[in-house]
Amino acid sequence: MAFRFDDDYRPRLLALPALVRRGGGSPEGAAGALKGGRVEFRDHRPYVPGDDVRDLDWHGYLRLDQLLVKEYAKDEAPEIVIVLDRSASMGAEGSSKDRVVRELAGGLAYVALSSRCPVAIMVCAEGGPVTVGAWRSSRKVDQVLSMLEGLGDPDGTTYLGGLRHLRPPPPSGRVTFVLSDFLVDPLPAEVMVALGRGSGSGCLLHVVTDRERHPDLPEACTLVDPETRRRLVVPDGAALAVAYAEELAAHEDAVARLAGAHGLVATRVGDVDPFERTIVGVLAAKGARA
Amino acid sequence: MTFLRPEALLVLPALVALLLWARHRARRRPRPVTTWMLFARALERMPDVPTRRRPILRDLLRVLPAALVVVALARPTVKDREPHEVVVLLDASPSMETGGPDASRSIAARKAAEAMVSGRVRVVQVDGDLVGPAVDHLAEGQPVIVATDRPLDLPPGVGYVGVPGKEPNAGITSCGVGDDGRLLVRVAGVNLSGAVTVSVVGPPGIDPVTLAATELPWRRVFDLPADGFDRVTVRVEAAGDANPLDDVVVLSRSAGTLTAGFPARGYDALWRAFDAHPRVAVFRGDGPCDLRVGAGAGRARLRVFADLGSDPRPVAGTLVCQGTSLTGQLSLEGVHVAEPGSSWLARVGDADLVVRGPDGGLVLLQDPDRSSWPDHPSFPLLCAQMLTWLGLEGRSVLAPEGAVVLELEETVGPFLDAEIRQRPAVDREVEERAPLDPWVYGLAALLLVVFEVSAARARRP
Repeated sequence: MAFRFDDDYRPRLLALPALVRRGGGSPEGAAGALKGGRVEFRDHRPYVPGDDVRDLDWHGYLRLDQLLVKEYAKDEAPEIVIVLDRSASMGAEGSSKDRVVRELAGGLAYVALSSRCPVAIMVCAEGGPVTVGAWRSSRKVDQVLSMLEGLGDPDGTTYLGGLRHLRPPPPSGRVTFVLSDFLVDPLPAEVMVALGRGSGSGCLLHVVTDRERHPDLPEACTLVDPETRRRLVVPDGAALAVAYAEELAAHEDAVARLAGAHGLVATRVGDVDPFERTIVGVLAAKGARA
Repeated sequence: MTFLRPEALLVLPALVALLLWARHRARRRPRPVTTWMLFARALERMPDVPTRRRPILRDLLRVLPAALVVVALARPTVKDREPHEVVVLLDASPSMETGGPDASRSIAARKAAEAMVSGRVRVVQVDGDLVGPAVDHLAEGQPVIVATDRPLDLPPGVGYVGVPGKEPNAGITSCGVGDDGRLLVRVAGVNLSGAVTVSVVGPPGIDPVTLAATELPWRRVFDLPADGFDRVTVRVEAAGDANPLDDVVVLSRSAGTLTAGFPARGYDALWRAFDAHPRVAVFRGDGPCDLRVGAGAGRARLRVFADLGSDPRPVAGTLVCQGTSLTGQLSLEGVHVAEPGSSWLARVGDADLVVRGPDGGLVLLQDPDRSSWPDHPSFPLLCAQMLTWLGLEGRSVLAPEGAVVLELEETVGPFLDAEIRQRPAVDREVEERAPLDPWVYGLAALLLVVFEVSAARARRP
């Protein structure tokens, strides 16, 4: 069955920007993390016929007895890129892991569009990220949701490495959000470099579901990797619980260290908290770092 | 505990086999896990983890609700430990009231049935089929006794109290002289095994006739000489004959005509055949029986119809018989329509029962074979009373309107002895009326709920 957002997702999505503005951390930082699209005063110049009379500075005229026109400089909004890991380890279509990724992607996109930031959603591929949609207006939210619903079943192996082919960020800057479980060995250090290059910045959203954190494998069984189809005979799943938990913690720390080493933000997200809380937290952390 | 559908339990081994197969399949079936990489790393660090299989007890517990449903489908029941209740199906037909209110066949039969068992007794009055209800009780495992005066063929296990039995009897059912001067004799018998001898004494030249019991019923017309005798005595003799009252008919000559006379009680052969002997089969005769009764000017004919053709008319009314009101209503079927000019002598309700025909003959309109009349004592008594109503003996008993009252005569013999013919099976197991399967279903449902709740709590983070 094709993926569909829940009926209450869209109304919650529309209320998200207000939540972000009220979000934790630094409101300016949170808002500033996705700021853009404003017009700021730059200088005065003498009035010439043809100028828009609305730009006349009447205070200046009273002081200087001279007609002056205000000049403004447009502050270009940063580009927001949301990269989705669609490898098989991201869960079957409709699973909680796949759902949380789509909800977070939709939430981040809408918050960005509400802040007048252009948004592009990409999926990882072997030759590089592939853009599946780009928008500039928050009125396009339904197109965003349709695109996210139309994404196919996560399949294949992780192509995070393709992110190194990401084009350089524009002068206005770029914030790249990567939603992945980063289950790739070794971790793609070169990707981190590409994400933080130039005026770009990045935020890694490390997706780990509650079931991945607490797997229930009480007996001897055979595990298969959904990406490579390799099999692993586990003599006793319950006996491996501690070692598994340690491996998971080590993996999370490794991702966080790698991100920090390249000036990126790494945030752990799961399927327990509602997507609003996760996004507010991510943007608060991103804003604080910004 | 016993099971009404034990074949359903055959599903249990299949359930266990299915469980074992599912466990084996679950172990071998590869499970996709998204964090396979982390499991591989963990196993690399701990290569000596021994193999462990899930305890089968836990799986058996999971299968337990399904197993309980299978057990419930097998309809478990618990053996009844209460004392057996014996059902006595007491024949409620009117003939069972014979003997009067204080000592009837019904009372004698009930006492005999109750004496057969030691537990609780429940008496059920049944007017009609007794075999069917007895079979039903037997099928349900409930001890049952049938008490009746009818001969029945009951299956083994059903108790049978009879009141009374039939003893051998031979009797004269018809005896009279026709208009041609010839003597008609009819003889019938029941439960006879030996020879029957019919003798005609009086007229010269008539030898006794010896018959085999299988030749009955028997009929012969004898030629009588015109004179030379004043009395004809017809006698029937048979070994083991239990009723002597229907064995002799005396015809005496009067005014040139031979008419039937009566022995000490003044009844003719037909009445004697019906006489209430305790163990005598009742003869109806083999057709319309034309009797000439009485002597002198009071002569009258009694016609009894055994077959009234195709126009029966049921009659219902209250009848007092032998001083006892018959329970319910008397059903008289096959009632003949009286000839125009008849005057009624006895009626039931507004239907004539006995009339004096236009020729002076006495006509009984009812077919005794098609009524619920207690046949053994009452019909012959009715016949006797009808003769009395003719005024032959100076007594006239007229009933109150709407009822016929018959006086209890000593002709009602001692027929109150009940006979135990078959004992009921009272040692069979009686299964509990409320089977256990509802409880088992409930337990299965409860276990399902408990498992679901525990599983939900285990899944909760």
